[in-house]
Amino acid sequence: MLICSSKLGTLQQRSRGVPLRPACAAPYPRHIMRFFIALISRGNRTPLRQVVSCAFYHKDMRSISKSLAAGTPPDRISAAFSPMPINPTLKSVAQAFLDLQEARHQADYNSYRLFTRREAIYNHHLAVHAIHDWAKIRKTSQADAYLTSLLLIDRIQGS
Amino acid sequence: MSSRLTHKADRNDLDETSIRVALEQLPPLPAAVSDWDVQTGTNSANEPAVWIWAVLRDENTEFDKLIAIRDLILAHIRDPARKTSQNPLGVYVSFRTVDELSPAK
Repeated sequence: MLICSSKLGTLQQRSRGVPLRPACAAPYPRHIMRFFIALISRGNRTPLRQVVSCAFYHKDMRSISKSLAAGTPPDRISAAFSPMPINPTLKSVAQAFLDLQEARHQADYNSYRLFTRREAIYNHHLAVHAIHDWAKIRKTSQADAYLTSLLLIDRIQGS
Repeated sequence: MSSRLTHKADRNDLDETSIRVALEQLPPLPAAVSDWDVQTGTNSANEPAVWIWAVLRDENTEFDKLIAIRDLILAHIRDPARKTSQNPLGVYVSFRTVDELSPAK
């Protein structure tokens, strides 16, 4: 996918007569994102999305969510979130992701950690709240950047 | 108690005592918190982390108020942590009431 998007970007630049940039130049992540979003969001792509879901890594998703929750995306992808500061709703979604990911890990792997009923209900509400929040921002460019980063952050090189 | 939750972190930028001090300095909260339970350790990524349980006086506190409390805590705890580390602490906030068992017991 990365190779294809790189070629896509190169072809677009050639057709406009724009000097070629190295693959890691700043605009590269935008090409990746547009390609990726177009790939999985048009028409009925449910089977493709199911296949792609296997490519997500907990570590990468935590890394980008942690950065966004703090309002500071990593330098190598920050251009994709600019020029506006990180949307507070997106920050909230990223924080909910972090909270729920850790809760899931504790519940599955820490035999000493007991969850009260209140905590379980709180986490449920947290997930519902995050889904509602996501619905508000899902069509924004920052949401696209977040989605793409969840999958590709470890493969995007800085400028 | 923290050693039962996870292994103690080799280096935590903030220890439990200083986090408790920071919690006592929070601005007025949208719901009454009678006590804090603070545990440090490492999270699922083996990074330094802190778990904070806010002990609520009112068991019927609305979810929106819980989220507001969480956000206040995150903002308050992360700021001092960020000054001392490139990789700020993972901060996880949960809630319980006085009559509920301690989460690690």
